[in-house]
Amino acid sequence: MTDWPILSTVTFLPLLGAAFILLIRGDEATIARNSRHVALWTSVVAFGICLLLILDFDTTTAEFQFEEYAPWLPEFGIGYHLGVDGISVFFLLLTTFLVPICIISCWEAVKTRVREYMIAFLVLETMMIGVFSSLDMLMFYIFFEGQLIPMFLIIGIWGGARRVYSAYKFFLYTLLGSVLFLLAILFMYLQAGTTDIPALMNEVWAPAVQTWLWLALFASFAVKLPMWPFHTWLPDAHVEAPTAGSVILAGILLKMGGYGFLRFSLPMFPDASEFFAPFVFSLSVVAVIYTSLVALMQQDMKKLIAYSSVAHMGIVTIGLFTFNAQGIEGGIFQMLSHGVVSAALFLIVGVVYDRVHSREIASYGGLVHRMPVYALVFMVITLASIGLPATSGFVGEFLIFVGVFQVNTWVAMLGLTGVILGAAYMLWLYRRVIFGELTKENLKSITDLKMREIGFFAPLVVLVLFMGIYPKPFLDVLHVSVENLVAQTQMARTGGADVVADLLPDALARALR
Amino acid sequence: MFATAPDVAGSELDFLGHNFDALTVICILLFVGAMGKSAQFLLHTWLPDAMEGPTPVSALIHAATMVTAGVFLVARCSPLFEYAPIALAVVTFVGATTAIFAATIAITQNDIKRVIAYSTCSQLGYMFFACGVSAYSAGMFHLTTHAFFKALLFLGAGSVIHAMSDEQDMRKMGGIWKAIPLTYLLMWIGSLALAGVPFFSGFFSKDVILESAFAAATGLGHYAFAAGIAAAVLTALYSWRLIILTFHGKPRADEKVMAHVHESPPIMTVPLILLAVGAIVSGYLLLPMVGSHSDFWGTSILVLPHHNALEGAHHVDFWVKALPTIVAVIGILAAYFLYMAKPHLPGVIAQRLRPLYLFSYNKWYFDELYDWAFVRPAKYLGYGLWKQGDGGVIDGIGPDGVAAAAAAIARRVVKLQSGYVYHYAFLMLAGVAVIITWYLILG
Repeated sequence: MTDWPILSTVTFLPLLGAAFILLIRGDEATIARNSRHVALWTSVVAFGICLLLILDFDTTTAEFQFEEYAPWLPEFGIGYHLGVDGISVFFLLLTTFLVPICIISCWEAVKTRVREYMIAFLVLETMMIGVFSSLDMLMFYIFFEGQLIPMFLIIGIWGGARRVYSAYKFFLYTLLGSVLFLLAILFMYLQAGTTDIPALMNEVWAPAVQTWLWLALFASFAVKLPMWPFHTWLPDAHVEAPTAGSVILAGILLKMGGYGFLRFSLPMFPDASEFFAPFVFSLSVVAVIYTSLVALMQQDMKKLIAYSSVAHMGIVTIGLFTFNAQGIEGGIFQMLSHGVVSAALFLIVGVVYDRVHSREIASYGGLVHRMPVYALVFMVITLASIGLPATSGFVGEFLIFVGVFQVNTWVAMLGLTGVILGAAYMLWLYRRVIFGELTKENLKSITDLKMREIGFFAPLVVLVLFMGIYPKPFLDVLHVSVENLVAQTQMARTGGADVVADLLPDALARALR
Repeated sequence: MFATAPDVAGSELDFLGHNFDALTVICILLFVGAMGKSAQFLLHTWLPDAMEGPTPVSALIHAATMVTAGVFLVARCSPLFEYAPIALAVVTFVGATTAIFAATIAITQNDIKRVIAYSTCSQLGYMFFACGVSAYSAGMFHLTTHAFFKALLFLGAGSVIHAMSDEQDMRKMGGIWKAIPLTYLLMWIGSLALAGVPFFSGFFSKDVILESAFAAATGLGHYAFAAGIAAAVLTALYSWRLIILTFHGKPRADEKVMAHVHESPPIMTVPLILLAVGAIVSGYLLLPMVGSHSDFWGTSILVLPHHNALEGAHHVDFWVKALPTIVAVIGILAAYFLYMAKPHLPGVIAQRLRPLYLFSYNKWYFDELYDWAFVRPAKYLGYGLWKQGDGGVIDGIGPDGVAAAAAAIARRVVKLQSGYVYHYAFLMLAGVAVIITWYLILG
C-alpha cells in the first residue's frame, strides 16, 4: 500500500467525480438525480480513503508522511509535493467528513442547476484537500486561491437575496489578502530558490525579512480566519450562502487561516511570530469580546452563528500564539471542534429554513413542542459551542486557556469573559427558538427531523461527544508534530524578537508592544 | 495537590500584571466559583428564579445537593484554604453577609417557594462562614442536616401547591391546615429544624456553627456571629410567617380551589415522612462529625492547630450556647404575634417603613441593578458595535469605502476620455508648453 499515491488519489478523486458528472446525459430530473448520487458516492469514497490513511498514520514521528514528489518545474525548483503530518491530517479528515454531509443536506434544498452545484462542490473539495496536503508553497497558493472560485459561484448563484454583494465582498476581501501572500511567496522563492515547504522551513530568515514576510502572510490568513477587524465579509457571506455553503465556509475555509499560521508563520518566522504575539493577542481578545457582544444582538440566526465563529477563531489564535504545546494543541483541537460544531449549527438553521424560509429568530419559538428530536440535537450542539465539559468545545478551550495562562493572565481572563458571553448568546438563541409557547400559525404544522436529517446529524453529535469524552486519539496524533513545532520555534527564537524590534520604527514597535 | 500546598504557601503568582500570594489568589478564585454555585451574595440572583422549575427538582438540586457543591468545594480544599488566611476572611465575610442578607428578603416574599429559596441562600451563608473560621466539619454537618429539612420543606411546599391547585402565592392560601394535617405537621417539623429549635437536627448544626464563629475570636468571627444570630431571628420569623399564612387564618382562595384542597397521595407523603425522620434524628446521629475528639473526618479535612475554632466552640460561655435557641423562640413568638394575634399589624408596619419594605420586597433591587449594570450595557454595546462598529467604521473604511472610492475615481477618470480630438490636442499642446517651460527655467 505504501507505493500507492494515496494523497493524490484523495485530492483528485472529487475532481474526477466532477468530470464524471459533466458526462451525465438525460432529461433534467435524471441529471439531477444522478449528479447527486455521483457527488455523494465520490465524497464518501474520499472519506473512506482518508480513514484508511489515518489508520495507517504513524503517530510516533513528526516527519511528513505519505509523501509524494514529482518534479514539476525542476529548473525553477518547483515540485509537485504532497504529504501530511499530525497537524494537517485531521483537517484532511474533517474536510472529507463534512463534504458528504453537505451533499446529503442539500439533497432536496437545491432544486435548480443541480449538476453545476454538485460540480462546484466537488471542485471545492479537491481544492480544500489540496490546501491541507500540499507541501509546495506554489501548489498551496493555487489551491488556496482556487477554492475562491467554486465558493464564489456557490454563494453568488445559489445564495439568498443579497448574494451578489456578499459574493463579491467575500471574493475581493480574501483576494486582497492573498495578493500579499503571493508577493511573499515570490520573495521567498527568489531568496531561497525553491518553493518546497520542508526546505523553506529549514531556511533561516533575517529578522527584518521575517517581519515583512510575516505581515504579508498575516494579511492573507487574518482575512481568511477571519480576525477582527477583517471579519465583516463573514457574516454577509454566511447569511447569503446556501446551507451547505455556510457549512463548508465555517467548517473548513475558516480553518485555513489557522492552518496557514501553523504551517508557515510559526515555523518559518518564529522571531516575528514572537514579536507580533502581543499584537495577535490584542486583536484576538478584541475579537472575542466584540463579536460576542455583537452576536448577542443579532436577529438573524445565521449572522449570530457567523459572529460566534469569529469569536471562536479568536480563541484559536490566542492558543496558536502561546508557543507552548498545550496552547497550540488546544488551538488545533478547537479548530476541529469548531469545524464540527459550527457545521452542525448551520445545518440546524438549514433544517428550519427549509421548512419556514426565514432566518429571523423572531419568527420561531416553542419548536420543542413539535420537534423534540430537533431540540435535542440543537441542545447538544449548543452546549458544545459553549464549551461544556464532555463536549468537544471544552477540550480545546481548556487546553488553550491552560496554555495562555502561563503566558499572559490578562489574555486568559479577557478571553474567558468572551466564553461567558458565548454562553449568553447561545443559550438565549436556544431559548428564543426552542422554548416558550408555540404561537405562530405557520409553525403549528412544522415537522420533526426526517430520517435523512437524522442521518447527517447523528455522526456530528456522536463526534462532538466522542471528542469531548475521549480526546486522546486526536491529541495522540497531534502531539508529536506539535512538540516538534514548538521545538522548532523555540530553537529559532534566540532573542530574535528584540532584533526585530530594533529594525522597526520605534513608534510602530511601541504601538505593537 | 494538597500535599504540596504547604510548600507553595507564601510563594507568589503573577496574575493580571501584579504579584499576589499564590494560594490566596487560587483560593479566592475557587471561592468565587463556589459563590456562583452556592448562590452567595452578589451571585445569588439565579437561585430564587430557578425555583420556577418543578418542585422535586428544586428540592433535590436547589436545596439539598447541587447548591451545596460550593460549600463542599471549600471544605474539600481545606488543605489549600488553611494556608490562605485572606481567602478565609473573604469566605467568612461573604458567608455572614449572605446569611443576613437573604433572610431580610425572605421575610417579605409572597411566593412560598421563593421564601424557601432565600432561606436556602441564607443557610448556605451559615455553612460558608463556618468554613471561613476553619470549622469545615461544622459547615459539612449543617450541609447534611440542612439537606433533610430543606428538602422536606420544599416537598412540603410542593404538597401544599398541589393541594391548592398549583397556587404558589401565600396571599391566596390560608386556613387549610385541617384539610391537609399531615403536610401541616411535616412542615412544622421542617420549620422547627430550620429555625434551630432544640432537639431537631438544625439545632445541633446551627449551634456549633455560631459557637465556632464566636470562638474564632476575630473581628470577622464576631461579625459572623452577630449576623448569624440576627439571621436566626429572621429565620424563625419567616418560617412561621410561612406556616401561618399558608395554613391558618381565613381561607383567601376562591371556593372552587378550597373545595379541591386535599391531602397528597402516599407517593408524595411517604418521602416527606422519611425526610421528616431525617430532619429529627440526623442531628444526633451525625454529631460525631463535630465531636471534640472524634476521628470522623480522618485526614480529609485539614485544620491548622492555631485555627481550631471548632475546639473552642465546645468551651464558649453558656450565653453563647443558649442565644441561638433564645432568638429562635423570639422569632417564632414574633411571627405568632404579628400574623396570628394581630394580623393587621404587618400591613401597618409595611406602610410605616415603606422604603425598607420595598427594599426587601424587591430583593434589594439586585435584579434591576444587574439589568442596569450588565444586561443593558451589553445589549447597548453589542448593538452599537454591530451597527456603528461593523457597519459604519469597518465596512465604511474597509470594503464598502474602498469600493466607493474606486468607483468615484473611475467616474472622474472616465471624464478625461471624452473622445473629442480637440480635447486631446489641447492637452497635448498644454503638456508640450509645460515641458518646454520646465526646461527653459531649469536652463
